[in-house]
Amino acid sequence: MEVSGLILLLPLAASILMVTFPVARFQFGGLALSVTLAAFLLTWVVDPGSLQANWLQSGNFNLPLLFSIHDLRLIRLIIGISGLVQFYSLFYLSSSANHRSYFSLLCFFTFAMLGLATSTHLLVTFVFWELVGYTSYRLIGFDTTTSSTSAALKALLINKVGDVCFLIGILMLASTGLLSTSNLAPGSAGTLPLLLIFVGVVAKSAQAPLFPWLTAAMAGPTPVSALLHSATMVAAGVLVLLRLVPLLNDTVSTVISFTGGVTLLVGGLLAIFSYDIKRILAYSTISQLGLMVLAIGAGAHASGYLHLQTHAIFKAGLFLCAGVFIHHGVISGHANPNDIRNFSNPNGWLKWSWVILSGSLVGLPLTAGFISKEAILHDVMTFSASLSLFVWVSIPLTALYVGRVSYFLVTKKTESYPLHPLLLPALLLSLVSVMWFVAAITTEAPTAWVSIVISQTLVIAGLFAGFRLARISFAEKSWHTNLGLDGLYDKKMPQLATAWGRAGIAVDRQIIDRLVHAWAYITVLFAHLTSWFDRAIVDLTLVGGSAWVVRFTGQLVRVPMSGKVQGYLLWALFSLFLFLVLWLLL
Amino acid sequence: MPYLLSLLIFSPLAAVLLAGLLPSRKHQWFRMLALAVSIGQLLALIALFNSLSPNISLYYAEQARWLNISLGTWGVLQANYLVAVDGLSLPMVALSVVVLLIAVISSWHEQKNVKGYFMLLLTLNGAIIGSFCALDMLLFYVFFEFMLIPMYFLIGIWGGARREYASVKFLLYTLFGSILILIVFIGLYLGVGVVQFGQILHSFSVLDWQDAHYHMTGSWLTSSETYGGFTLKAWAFLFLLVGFGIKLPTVPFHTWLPDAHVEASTPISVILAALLLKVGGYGLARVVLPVFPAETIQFSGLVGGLGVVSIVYGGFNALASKDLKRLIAYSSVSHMGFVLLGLASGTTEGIAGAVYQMTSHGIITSMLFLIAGVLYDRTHGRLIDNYSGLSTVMPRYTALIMIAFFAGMGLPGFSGFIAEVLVLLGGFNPLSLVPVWLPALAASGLLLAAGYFAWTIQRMLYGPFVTKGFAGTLTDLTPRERFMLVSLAILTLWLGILPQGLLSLINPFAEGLSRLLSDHLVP
Repeated sequence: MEVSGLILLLPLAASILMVTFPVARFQFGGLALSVTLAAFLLTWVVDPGSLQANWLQSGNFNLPLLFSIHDLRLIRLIIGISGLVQFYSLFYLSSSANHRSYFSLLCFFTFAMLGLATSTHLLVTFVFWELVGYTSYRLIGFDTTTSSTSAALKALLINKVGDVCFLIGILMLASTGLLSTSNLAPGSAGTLPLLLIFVGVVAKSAQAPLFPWLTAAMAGPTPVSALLHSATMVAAGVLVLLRLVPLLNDTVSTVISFTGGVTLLVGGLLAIFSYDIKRILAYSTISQLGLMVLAIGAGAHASGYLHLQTHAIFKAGLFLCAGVFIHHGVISGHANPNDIRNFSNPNGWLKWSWVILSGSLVGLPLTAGFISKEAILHDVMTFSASLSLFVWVSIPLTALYVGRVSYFLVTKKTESYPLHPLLLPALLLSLVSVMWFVAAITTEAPTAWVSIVISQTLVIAGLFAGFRLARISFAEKSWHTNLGLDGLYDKKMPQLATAWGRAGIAVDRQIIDRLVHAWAYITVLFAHLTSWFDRAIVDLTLVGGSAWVVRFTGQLVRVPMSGKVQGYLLWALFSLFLFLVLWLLL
Repeated sequence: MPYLLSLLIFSPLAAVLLAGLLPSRKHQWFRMLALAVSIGQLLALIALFNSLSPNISLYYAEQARWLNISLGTWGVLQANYLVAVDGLSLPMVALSVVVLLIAVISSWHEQKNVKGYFMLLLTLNGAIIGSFCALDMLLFYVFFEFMLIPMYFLIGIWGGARREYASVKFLLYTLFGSILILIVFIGLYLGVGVVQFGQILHSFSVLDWQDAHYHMTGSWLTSSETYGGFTLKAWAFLFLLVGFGIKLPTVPFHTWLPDAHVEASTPISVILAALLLKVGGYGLARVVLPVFPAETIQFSGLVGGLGVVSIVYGGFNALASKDLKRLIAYSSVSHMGFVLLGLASGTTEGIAGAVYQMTSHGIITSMLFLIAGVLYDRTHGRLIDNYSGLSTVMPRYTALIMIAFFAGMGLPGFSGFIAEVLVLLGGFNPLSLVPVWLPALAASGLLLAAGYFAWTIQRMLYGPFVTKGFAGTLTDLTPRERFMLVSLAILTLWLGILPQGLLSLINPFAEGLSRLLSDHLVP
């Protein structure tokens, strides 16, 4: 077995080890971290290659486990962010939480996400897709309160809708032999399987209209939100979409672009109207994922992929910063620690991390976000002018909500946040963001100066507008939360499903079982009939009749035996007379 | 070991005779006897797997003369003792041995009429394994019927509140199906034959029935007369479909199942769900498809449709169930729909998936019923709404519920995923006999399974700790319960992560059957 396989297997082994062996309580985090570090180091040591193992074969269908360890940057990104989140969790998690379960799930997630990112056969990708979804379900509901577990259930079920469509799409492609990515040619797949797979992407990457699960998923611990629900798991849909790029036809691309564009705008809009920092970041994630999907639909795959990676860095960092704010809020005893109106102006490392990471989100220079956003803008404009409108609108939109949040931070009294290990991961991520910019600029100088200037102007304008907007406080409307879709997902759909269920039970009891019982009653009725026939007719007439005949004959024969001598004399004389007559005749 | 199968079948039956001689008050002796038989069967099973030679289609065949009754002018009734295992029956036999062992362990604390209970359990043991091994269909039928009476008593005496209703319903419903099967079996016996020394020699062997050369010209098997639009062969197919479909169970012949499962005690529910239901699927794959290939193709849409209806209808009913065991019973109906769909597709993947699903579901449903049993043993209640927050007091139980429920949902890593993917692949295959929208609908069954299982997790495991109608303390799993559940969990994980071991066994059978069906396709 190749050494590169260890990159995937080490986190899996750690996850299983933690659950099956009695390891001392606070060593779970250490074990997780060391394994993740080892895997990270391995990526610098191994040669890119493929891993293959036979898994499933039946008839003409052959499903090998095929992994391609080539895109080391993505792999390092996944492992790196996982490691930073694990480090962060060591300090963030309360001591009463179930560390064993938590770190085991985080390691298992790393394994599953790596499997998803490196597998080349779509059905194998689906396996890891589901495993990642399972891990998300367990981690969202980690504190086992009713609100988090119902959020986890919502996430699971909405994702399951996508999963089922994804599976049907994959299996339809499987029957045409298109599953392993080596033999993909444009136009060789039908529109329907591609659209079905896209439904899976819509669910997993929280596109409209299946995004409410991501908002609900914010009920999970903040490190989990940073790892799964911003950087890696939700990006899985985009990763699959990238893999399908050679197969896309015009219809499917239009659907993809339109969905991405709408999601981009909806996410940005909803982020403006929220006060909960995690919710704002969730809507921001939704919006940025929409941007990635739009880019791919428009044909700008490379820049979309670039944005996936830069987004992972700055969004995870933003969540980790938010975690510090929330933690501070909890300690200070605020009723709603997530509310941005309660935040104080951070000082020192936290401030700089936040500034750089927010800057990356809006796409200011000196950050990785600048590189990827300008790339998308340029590429989408090249491929499609109409779709680029979405991107142009999204630039000030993103700046609006970022500016708004910044207002609440900047205008507060400065508070000194002491240097604490919790600040380190976000700091590191912001440094990576800057280094990314430097590396990109030195490799290739930017050329599209016009669009850069215009977009940066829009960013500055948006930030200022956001500042002014923040001073207006507004009433909470129902559409501010998930565009009011929660009514559909939380009430209507479950009601519909349970109504159908009850209808099924009614059919079972009132119709089918009644038929069964009717059959039983008819049989018993028939039994009563035959019983009556037996008693009344057979017994009475035939059996009774023959008894009657015998009794009648007996009575007849008994007549002469009266007990009177005169009678006997009479009968004897009569018999003698009869014999004499007969003797005379014969 | 040439007589391994007879050993497997008759050791429990011999143990019944032995148990009959033992005094009733020595409860422990009966438990130990049943356990010894089960462990012996497990060892025999391991020996069986160890010496499987490759490239043979039938393993451990045994044949002996059995019945040879002269019926005067009506000919001779001849049946042989013919047992063997192949890719279809070997997983079933293995499943039976494992599940029956688990059932014995689960029955350990049964106090009521222990002698009778274990005697009936051992009879059931022999009958189940016998019906999976028999290739002579009269022998199969004898074992098939032998399963009904012990089950009737086991449900009717050791069951719950409505046990008499449930056991009578189970018995009469299944018996009705058996009559239909018997009619066709007798017809097949008379229609299959060879002329030898001027006499017609019939056969009950399913291997002979499959061979079209043995179908006698002039019999109903070669006649093309139609009655009501169907040939006699088509009617025979439908009779067998109903007969085995009652056992599977297929909607709409399934209503005996929820009552029987809910009222039966935990070990009996386990045997009922894990094994008896599989005899229905086994019968379809063993007799119906190979002997009536043309009719299988003719009715593939109907059979596939019934499968999908079972999946969706069973799933919705499970969603609305308030009783935990009823939910699990309906989920069994739903999962067995995949078996029907896989068989109907007629492709190698579909048929292999159907057999894999039978094995996988046997393991998973055993876990599910044991889980329901854990709760019932402690609280004598099963209503889902009466419990919440169980994860706070029973963490090990919670972990195993998660494993069982997610396995039931078809999460990859567990055996159910492999089975369902194979069945769906078979359905989507261009060579499949069923239209493509059927497997697409069937996949929605996965969503329903997630719905009812995850919702049950939400209701019962999370939230504040509440138990209505029960005032004591809830203890976590005992070592005995843990052993049973963990062993089954390991089995389903093994079959989910390393499927090729079992698949390489099933594939030859599936390929053979698929080829037999495709040979009959009118080009």
